[in-house]
Amino acid sequence: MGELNDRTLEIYSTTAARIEESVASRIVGQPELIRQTLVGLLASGHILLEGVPGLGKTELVKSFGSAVGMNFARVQFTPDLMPADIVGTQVLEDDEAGHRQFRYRAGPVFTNLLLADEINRATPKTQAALLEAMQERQVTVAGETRQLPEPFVVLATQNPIELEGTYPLPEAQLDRFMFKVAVRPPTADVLEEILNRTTSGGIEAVPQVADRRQVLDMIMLTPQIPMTSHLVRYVAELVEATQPEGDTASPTIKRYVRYGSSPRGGQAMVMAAKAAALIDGRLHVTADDIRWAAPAALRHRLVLGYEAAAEGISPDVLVREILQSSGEPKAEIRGAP
Amino acid sequence: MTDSTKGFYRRIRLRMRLAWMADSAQIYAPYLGWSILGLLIADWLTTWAGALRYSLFAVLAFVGALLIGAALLRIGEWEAARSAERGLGLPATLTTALEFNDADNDIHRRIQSRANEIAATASPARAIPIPVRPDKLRLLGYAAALVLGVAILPALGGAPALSADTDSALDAEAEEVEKLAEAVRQADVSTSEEIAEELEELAQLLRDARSLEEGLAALDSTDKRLSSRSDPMFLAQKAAVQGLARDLALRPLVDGAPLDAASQLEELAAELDQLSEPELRALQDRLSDLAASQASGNPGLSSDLADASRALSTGDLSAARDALDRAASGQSSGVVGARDQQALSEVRRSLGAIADRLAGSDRADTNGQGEGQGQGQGQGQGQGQGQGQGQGQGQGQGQGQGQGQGQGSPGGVISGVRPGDGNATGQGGQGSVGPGSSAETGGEPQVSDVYDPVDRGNLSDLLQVDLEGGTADGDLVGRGEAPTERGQSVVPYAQVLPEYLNEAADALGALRLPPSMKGIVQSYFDQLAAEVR
Repeated sequence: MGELNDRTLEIYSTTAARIEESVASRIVGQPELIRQTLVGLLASGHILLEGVPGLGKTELVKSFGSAVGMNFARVQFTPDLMPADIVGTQVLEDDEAGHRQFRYRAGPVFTNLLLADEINRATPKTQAALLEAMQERQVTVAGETRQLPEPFVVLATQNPIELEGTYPLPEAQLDRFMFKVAVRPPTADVLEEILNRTTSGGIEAVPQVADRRQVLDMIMLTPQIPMTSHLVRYVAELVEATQPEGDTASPTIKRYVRYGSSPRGGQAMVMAAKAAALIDGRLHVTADDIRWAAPAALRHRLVLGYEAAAEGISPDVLVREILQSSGEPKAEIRGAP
Repeated sequence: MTDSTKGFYRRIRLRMRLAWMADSAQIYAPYLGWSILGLLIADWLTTWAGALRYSLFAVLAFVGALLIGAALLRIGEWEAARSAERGLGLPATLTTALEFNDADNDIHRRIQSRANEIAATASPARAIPIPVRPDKLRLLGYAAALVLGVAILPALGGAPALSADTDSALDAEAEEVEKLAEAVRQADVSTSEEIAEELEELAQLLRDARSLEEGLAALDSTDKRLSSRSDPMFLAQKAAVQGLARDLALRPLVDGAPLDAASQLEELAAELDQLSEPELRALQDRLSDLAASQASGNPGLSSDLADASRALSTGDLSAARDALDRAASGQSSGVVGARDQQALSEVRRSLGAIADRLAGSDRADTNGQGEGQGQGQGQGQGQGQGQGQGQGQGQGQGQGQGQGQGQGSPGGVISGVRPGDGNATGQGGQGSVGPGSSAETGGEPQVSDVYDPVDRGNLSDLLQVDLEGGTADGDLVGRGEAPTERGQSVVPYAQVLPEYLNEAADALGALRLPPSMKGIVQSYFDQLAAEVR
């Protein structure tokens, strides 16, 4: 593992910029999406991408795999997908001596970047198989536990439409995703660029600008980025503000939210803020980093009530309100009360 | 943390206090401005004149509160760092350095180095800019413009209605004071010039006064200064001087053309050698009597006259001559002093009348009051003091009317400015009569009132009293006629006392009373004056 010093900080910052640039050469007009994905990767967090089909979610994951020179696997989740199709299974084989024996055949989960496409179409049983892999970074098959390669990041996608026959992810599994990123449709300008690139033939490959070792170093050093106590407190207060039973919850939160964020939401914000500081080449975290990370870290952790659904209140609206009402600790000069 | 960084935080803290003061001032200064505006308007529209003083106090208190508040602000290094990094647009750089300061940690050292670099190059003024609140400053501007406008309006013409009346009244009284000053200057008194200058200064103060209170204060101040010149023995001295003058006018000490008292004493001193022995003995007795009459009012003169008498008794004509010369000189200076004090007294009375008029007493409202079992009311108008009184006695119902005249008595040394001169009429009120006998007299007079014989009306009218008209439950004692003294006046003691004292002084000088009796009368008036004062 490399030391975090001026030189390595500069190197990692430059590397991160190159990764973003490399991915952006393929994924047009989605810099925020690329940044969030990179942050998730450096924070070793899993990302849930939500968006309609055709927005480049799969291409994003493939591009990342190419840019950082890591293994990439894609699993299309369907209702008949079995856990063994993900984590692998024991198969009976004859060895060279003619003896039959079970041999473990690894599933697609044994990769660095796993794209779980349309994860909500698989049954809960299959989804649960992914659960252990995401949280423990290991799988257990036939009583044997096997470590997954490092890094291991799941980028799952789900389609917000055509929900018939789907199995919405339970809260426990949603909580395991560090970010839930909304993939927005491209603007006309961006779409024009996409059309030009993809319909003229000869699509260039995404250049590899980093290797697995570098990414691992960055992942290991991310937690070392200093974060002042008042910002940690700020994160804690943000999480507390999502709890409808909490003292600091606003009337809006009390009205629309059934359950607030778990501590994982706070951890996600802290790690994401540190990763963002590392990418920017900063040795300190700012409140802006936290505010940037908050929507993606909290939106899937808020369990909304019936009133929110009836009135069309989205989690993003509530997170915005929390950010506006919960200021970081300040020392501004104001006139006498 | 380097010394440079510590110095940077010190400057930041100072700057934060300054910013706090500026911000607080912008928030509250408009309220202060509106308050001062209110004070000025109150000053302008009413007779109250404390706006400048209270405005100054409010401003000083405001500034003091800001300074104290800024000094009491608790600003630690974290607050200073937090504010500075926000102002500089370098969030978390300085606060991170405060928290992560392990010298053995490369990252911490780098963070410290960055913070020190910022502290060395950053400007505290840029880090902590002075806050500006345009909305509050706009309000303050409006308030300041209005304050300025209201402040200069009086100078452009005074307050609308009330001020015009006040200015007019003050100008009129200032004119009166100037006339008084001119009269004093023309009067034959030794201190006329000093008193006239005092009065002219007062007239100017009255013209410059911005309120009635200022004018009254100027009058009061002048009166106090004049009062310090007053001799408490003035009345006794005046009585003695006038008494000696009248005595020697009736029974001259020397033959020939009528001379004043001082001249007679000088003449007598010069003619002592020509007097016979019997004449000298008679003169000795006469001088002894005169010395006794002057003992209470003019002790110096009394002593000189007694010395002369004793010298004559021993046959020492030279000593008697010297004593008579001293007595002549003492009488001359007594006359001058009495005139000075008389003039001073008249000036003070005039100023008192002016003060009364300014204070609203110039309307000369007088209230008659029936006494005894009847009550009445009277009103008089005019510059003088008139008082009507109806008095019913006996049983029944009475009505009374009366008229009175008030007039200043002659004899002043300053002509034409006696404020007591003038006519007054009063009308007695109606008195409803309850039970009682015709022998009953009125109740005790009010402490501050006194019956004034000068304003007394006719006494000859009789009141027809109808016993059956009685409303009370007393015994009916018969039907008859009861006298009523309509037109009697009851006025405040303080109002008539100076007049009485003058009259008394004149009477003591004019009447041939034994010295012991003069002392009693003089003692009575001295005591009366002390009580009223």
